Amino acid sequence: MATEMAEQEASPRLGLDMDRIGQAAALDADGDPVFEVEDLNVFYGDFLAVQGATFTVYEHEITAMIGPSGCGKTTVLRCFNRMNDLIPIARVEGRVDFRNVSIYDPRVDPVEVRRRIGMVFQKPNPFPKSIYDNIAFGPRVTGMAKKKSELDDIVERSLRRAALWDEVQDRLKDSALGLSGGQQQRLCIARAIAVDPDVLLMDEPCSALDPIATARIEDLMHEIKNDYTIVIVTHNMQQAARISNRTAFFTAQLDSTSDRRCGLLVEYDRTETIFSNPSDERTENYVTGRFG
Amino acid sequence: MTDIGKLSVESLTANPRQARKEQVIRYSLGATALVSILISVLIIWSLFSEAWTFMVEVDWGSVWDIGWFPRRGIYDIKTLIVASFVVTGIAMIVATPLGLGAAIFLSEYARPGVRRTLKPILEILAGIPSVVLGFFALEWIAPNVVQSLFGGPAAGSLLAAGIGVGVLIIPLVASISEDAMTAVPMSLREASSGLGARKMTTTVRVVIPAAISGLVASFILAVSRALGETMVVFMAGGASQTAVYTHHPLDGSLTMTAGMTSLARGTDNVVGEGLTFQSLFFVGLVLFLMTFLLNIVANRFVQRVREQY
Repeated sequence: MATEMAEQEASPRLGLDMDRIGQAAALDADGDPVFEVEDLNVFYGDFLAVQGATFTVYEHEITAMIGPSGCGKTTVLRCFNRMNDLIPIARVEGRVDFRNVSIYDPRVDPVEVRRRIGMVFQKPNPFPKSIYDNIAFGPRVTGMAKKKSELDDIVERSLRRAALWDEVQDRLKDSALGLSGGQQQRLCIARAIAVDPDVLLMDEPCSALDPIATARIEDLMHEIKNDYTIVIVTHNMQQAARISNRTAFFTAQLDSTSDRRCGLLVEYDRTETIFSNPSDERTENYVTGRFG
Repeated sequence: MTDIGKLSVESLTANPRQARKEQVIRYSLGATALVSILISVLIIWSLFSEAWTFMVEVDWGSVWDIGWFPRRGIYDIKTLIVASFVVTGIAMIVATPLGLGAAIFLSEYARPGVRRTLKPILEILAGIPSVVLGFFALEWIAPNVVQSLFGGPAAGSLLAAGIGVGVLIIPLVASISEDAMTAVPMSLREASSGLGARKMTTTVRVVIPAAISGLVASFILAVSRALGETMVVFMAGGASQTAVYTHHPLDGSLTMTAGMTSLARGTDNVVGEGLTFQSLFFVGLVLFLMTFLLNIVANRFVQRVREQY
């Protein structure tokens, strides 16, 4: 991955290596739908933050959401595991089905949803606990592991999957806060996969990291996408092009009556189409760097 | 426009009047800081010197005796210390669950509007004069709680005083604990929720451990406040001048502060009798050292809170 970044410098458009775009994709056919979003509106109080988003996320793919600041991509991501419930004034309208079950059905417990849909946040947020206790947190609170040996296994497996085991195996009892930013973020990924989720939501997971740490996380995403479905929000178009199978482009549209910006899904397609042959002019302008 | 070509050292020199004014302000502010330090030193010096007289001249057998009868030359300090500990213990039993519960509700469960209303009310509660609470302890807690529930006296007792002090320090515990818990970053709560933890699990396993230094600090400060509380224990403690040693909560006794208050009332009565006057300073010194130590410990905890996350 690190070498790939060097290669991009030769690329004429925005540093994108056009030949490699969508190579990650190589999709033959659509997998099973994991999320089906229809006519999604999200409000913060009276403010309409996202309007009418409709798209489908498929199994074992990496789906990227890109767009300028304030376009609502993080807001949409946080609808997938009902994280917006933590914000008292947030309100969601429309349909979000997770494996054919509406997760906004009144009978659905958001806690059960979040046990199946893990999340990695923009800023690494390890608990001020030991490395071991960070990973063991999820299995402990969900009652996954009863015995110490089971827990040890989960911790080791998760850290190995997150390519962190070799660096931390001798200091599992040390505070997680002593790790570097990139290590902390891989720890957060390990922590999320320790509860064996179906989906991994990633909210700009590399925005606080340097290029080398970013490359490691991207490698990691490639490795684990066969087991999980990944939805990632990113500010970095090259990243979306490098890693994702499908890309959703959002923009912020100015509402002339209220003079406020509202997020809008402009185009959703396979990543190679979005970057090489988008059907909407706004997408074209964004991916070529004429806007945003 | 300034003519850059004519720049000289003189054009960059301060106006002498301005400079002198700045000096005056500097020294005046330094003097005010010095005065408050000086006053503290004087207080401690007077405390130490009188307490020293007591310690040198007293017959130490009378400092470990059957009770607190200063006018008869019996200065059993353990009577006062034990009564203080009993009152403080009861106060903490009352204030810890209620204060911590209120803090958890305010910081984790209450909606923003509710918190904005309740927090100031809680802080106003902290400003109730302790004499009002002393009266409340004597007139309401003693008959309605101590007598009805525990079969104690309807008048003052250590239990009545302890509950009164407990009520007094609830806002202190709640307010500092709430601050400590609110200071825990939202991102940690999100991480926990994202892993499928319920709210109570997040509170107990993430928020409280992350805020533990602040919580401990709030308890220590509350203990130190309870030890130093005077009016409630003097009014509702069930003894006015003297006390026989007891550690039973339903008995009346004198705490360190109450003992000092009763001695200090009408100094002309106090002075004549041997070391009675000096014993007041001796008790004061013991109390001062205890709360001083507690405050140092609490401060260290508060500092650790700032270093975390």
